[in-house]
Amino acid sequence: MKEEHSPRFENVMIIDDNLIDLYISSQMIPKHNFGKKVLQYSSAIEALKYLQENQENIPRLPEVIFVDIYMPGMSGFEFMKEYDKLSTSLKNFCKVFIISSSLDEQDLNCANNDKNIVAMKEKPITKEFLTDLMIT
Amino acid sequence: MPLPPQFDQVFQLLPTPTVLLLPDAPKFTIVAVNNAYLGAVNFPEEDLIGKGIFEAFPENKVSNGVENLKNSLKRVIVKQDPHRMPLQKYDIPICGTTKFKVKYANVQNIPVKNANNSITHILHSVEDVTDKKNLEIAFETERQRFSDLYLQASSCMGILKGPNHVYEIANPTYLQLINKKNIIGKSYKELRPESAEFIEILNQVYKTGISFSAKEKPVKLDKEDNGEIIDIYVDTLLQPHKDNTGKTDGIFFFFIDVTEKVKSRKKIEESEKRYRELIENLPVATYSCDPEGRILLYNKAAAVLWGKEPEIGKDLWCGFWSIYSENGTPLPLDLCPMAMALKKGRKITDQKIIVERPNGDKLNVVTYPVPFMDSSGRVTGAVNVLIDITARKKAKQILKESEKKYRQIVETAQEGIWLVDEDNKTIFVNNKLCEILGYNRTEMIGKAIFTLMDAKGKNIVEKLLLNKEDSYTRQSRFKFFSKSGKEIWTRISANPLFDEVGIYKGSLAMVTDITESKKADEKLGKLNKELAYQNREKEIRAAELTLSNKELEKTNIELDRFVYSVSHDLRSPLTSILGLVSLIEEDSREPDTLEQVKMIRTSIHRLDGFIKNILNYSQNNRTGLEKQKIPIKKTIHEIVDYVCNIKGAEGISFQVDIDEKQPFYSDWQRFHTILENLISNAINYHTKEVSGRYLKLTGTSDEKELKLSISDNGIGIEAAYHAKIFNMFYRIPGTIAGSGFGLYIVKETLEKLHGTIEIQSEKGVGTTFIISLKNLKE
Repeated sequence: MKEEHSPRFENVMIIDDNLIDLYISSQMIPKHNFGKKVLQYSSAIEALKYLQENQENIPRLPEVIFVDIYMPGMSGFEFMKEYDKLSTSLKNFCKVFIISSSLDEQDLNCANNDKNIVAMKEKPITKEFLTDLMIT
Repeated sequence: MPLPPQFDQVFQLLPTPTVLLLPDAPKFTIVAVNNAYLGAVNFPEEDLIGKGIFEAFPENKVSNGVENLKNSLKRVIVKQDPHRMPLQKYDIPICGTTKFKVKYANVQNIPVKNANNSITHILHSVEDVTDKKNLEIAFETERQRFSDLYLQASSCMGILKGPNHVYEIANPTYLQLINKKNIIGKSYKELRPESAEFIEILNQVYKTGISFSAKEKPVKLDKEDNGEIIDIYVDTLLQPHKDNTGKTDGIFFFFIDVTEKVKSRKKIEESEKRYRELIENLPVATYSCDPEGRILLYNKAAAVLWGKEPEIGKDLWCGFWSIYSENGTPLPLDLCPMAMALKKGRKITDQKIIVERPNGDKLNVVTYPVPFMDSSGRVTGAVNVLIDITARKKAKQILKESEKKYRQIVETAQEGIWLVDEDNKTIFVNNKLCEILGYNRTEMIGKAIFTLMDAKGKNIVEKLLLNKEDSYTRQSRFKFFSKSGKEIWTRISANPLFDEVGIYKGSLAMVTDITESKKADEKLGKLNKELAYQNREKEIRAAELTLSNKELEKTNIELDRFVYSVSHDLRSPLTSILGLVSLIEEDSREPDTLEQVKMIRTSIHRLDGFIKNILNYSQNNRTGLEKQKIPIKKTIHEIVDYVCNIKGAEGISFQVDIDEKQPFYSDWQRFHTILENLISNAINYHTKEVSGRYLKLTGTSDEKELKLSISDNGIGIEAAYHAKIFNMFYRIPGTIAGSGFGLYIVKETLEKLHGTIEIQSEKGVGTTFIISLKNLKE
C-alpha cells in the first residue's frame, strides 16, 4: 500500500462478465494507484449506456477502459463497434484496452485494426501491467 | 613184157600224155610214162614207174576222177574194148605242195592185146583240154551275163532297124517303160506317135551315123494309151548300128528312166528354194556355215543382229566381233557354239552368250547351232539361229526385281494375303496368313478354304463366290478356325481374279486378324460397363464424400471452436484464480499462506501452459502462415527473459549466440511457440544441481534457412525414446510430469514452417535439439 501517491487516473472502467475478475480488477486498480474510481460493469450494454449518457460530461468519463471480449449480450468487439459511434471528445479522452483470458489470432487482428483500441492484454491484470500503463 | 623199141620210141613221141599200165587190177602198175605225161604232171619218171596208178595219183576231194578211172579200166578189161571216158576234171597235185590244180582232160583207155587176144597192157592216154574247157566256160559266163544284162537290166535297151525305126529287139525293162507288148516289127512312129521330137533325133542319128546322148532328156509318153501325155526323163544313148559295109542300118538305144530322180531332185530344189526364202525372210537371225565354219548363207535378221554384212565364204562361225560367256568372261571365237557344233557334230541348244557388235554394243544372245551330216555321219555344215534376249533379259531382270519387291511387300505385310484358284484351293499364302491361321505354308498350299470355316461360314463364302462376274471387294468380319481349332476373327477384303479373256481364275483375299481387337473390344465394352458402374458408384461416393466433407468441415470448425471455447473457458477461471492469488500474495503476511499460494500459482502456470499449448495446436492447424521478418536474437531474448521466471530456472546460465547473416522470414507466432516450448523444456528437464547448468542457443541464418541448436547439460533422454518423444501425449516413463504435448506441437509447427528437428541426447549428459527452418523470404 503506497498511500503517499495519488492515483494515476480519476476513473477507470472495467467491463467483464466474470464477476471474480471484475472483483480482482477493482481491487488491483486502487491498490496500485492506477485509478481512483473504478467503474465496474458486468454488461457491455450497461457500460455503453453509461458512456452514451456521459459522452459530453468529461469528468464522469473513464480515462482507461478495460473490456473483456467474450461476454453474453454484447461481446467486446460488438461494444467497440458501438463505441466508435460515440463522440470524438469521448474517444479522444478514453483509452480502450482489450483484456481476455485467451488471445487468438483473429482477436488480435480485430484489435489491431481498431484504431480505438490501444492494446490487448491477457488476463489476469497484474501489478506489472498496470505499472507499465501508468508510465506510458 | 618189154615193149618193142620202135613202139617205145613212138610211145615217147606221142603228143598226148600217156602211161602204160598193167591190167593187174586193182593196182594197175605203171610200166611206162611218155614225156608228154611227165610234162603234164610234172613228176620225175622214177617216182611213177612201178607204182600203181592210183598209188601215184590218190583220190582227192575235188573230183571223183579215181572212181571214174577205176570203172573205166575195169570196163576195158571186161569188155576188151577201148573206152573213152567223158570230159574228166582232175585235181593234179602241185609238186612240192599240198595244193592241186584243176585240169580238164579227155581220157582213153585202150587195151593192148597179144596174139591170143588177151590184154597185156592198157594204154591210158590223157588229152589235156583244160584251155579249151576254160574258154567254153568263159563264153558261157559272158553269154549268161549279157542275157542277164539284157533281160534284167534296169536300163532299157533295144535295136531299131531301118529308116522307119522298126523295133528289132527290146528288153522287158523298155516294154515296161512304155507299157506295151509285142512291139517287134512295129515302127517307133507307129507305137510312139506322141514323141515326134524324139523321132527327129532318131532320124538324125540314122542319117548322120553320129551317136546321140543326153542326160535327163524329157520325153513325152502316152503311157496308158489314152491320150494322157506325161513327161518322163531318160538318160539317153542312141548308137548307130552299122552293117558289114559300114553303113548305118539301125540304131541301138539305151534309156535309163530317171523320172523319179529328176522329180525328187526338182522337189528338193523347190524346197531348197523355199527354205532359202524362208530363211531369208525369217525375222530370227539365221545363217549357215560350211564344215570349216565359213559363213555361206545368212538372212537380213542375222545381219541386223551382227551389225554388219559378213563376207560370204570368209567370215567365220559367229559373225561377231568378240563373244563372252554368260558370266562375262571372254570366250575365244573358235569355242563359240557354232564352232563347237561343227566340231562335235551335234546340236547345241539354248546356249546363252554375250556378243559384241563392231560398234561395241553388247547383247545377250541364245544360240541354237544344228550341224548337217551326210549319210556317213560326216559333218557337212551347220545352221545356227541367234535369238536376241537382251530386252527379254532386261525385262526379266526388271520383272525379277519388281517381283522381289512385291514379294517383300507381300511377306512383310501385316495383313494375311490369300490366293485361291477357281476350285477354291489355296495357291498362295504369305507368312502373315500362316501366322494368323497357325498353319505352315506347305500345309496351306492346296488346302480348300472351306476346311477352315464352319458350315455358316461356308454358306456365306459360297454365296459370295457365286458372284464371279463383278468384283466383290468388300470388307466383312469372318470367322476361321486355326490349326489348333481356335476361333480366329478376321476382317476380309476379297477380289475375284480373271485371266486376260475374262475367265474366273480364283480370288485374292486380304485377311486381318481382329481376334485380339475383337476380344479387346469385348473386354473394353465390359470394362466400360464396369467403369460406368464404378463411375456411378464414385459419383454416389463423391456426393457422399462431399456431404461428409461438408460435415467434416463443419465438425472441424465445430471442433476448433470447441477447442478454443474449452481452452478459453478453462483459462478464464485460471486467470481469475491467478488474479486472486496475486491479491492474496499482496495482502497476506502469513509465511505459510504465502508458501501455499506460491504452490497454487505454480500449479496454475502448469495448467495454463497446457491450455496454451492446446490453443497453439488448434491455431497451428486452423490458421495460415503469416510471413514476416523475425528478429531472431530479440525474440529469443524475450523468450529467455520470460522463461527465466519459471521455477527451476534459477542459476542456469543462458548463452545466446546467433549469427543473423541474412534477414530471416517466417511466421512469428509459430516460431515463438517452437522456441518457447524447447526452451521451457530445457529448463523444466534440467538437472537438480545448481552449479554449472547451462542452456546454449546457437544459430545462423542465411538466405536459405535458419539453423538453430538448443543445448543443455540436463538429464538427457535415452536413445530408445528419441523416436517417440515427438508423438502426441507421449511421456517418458518415470520423469517429471509433463503434458506430453509440447514436442508434438513443436514438430507439427515445424512441419507447417517447412522445418525439421533432430535430437542428440544422452541420458545424464544433456540434450541438443537442432532445428532448421526454411527462410520464407520470397
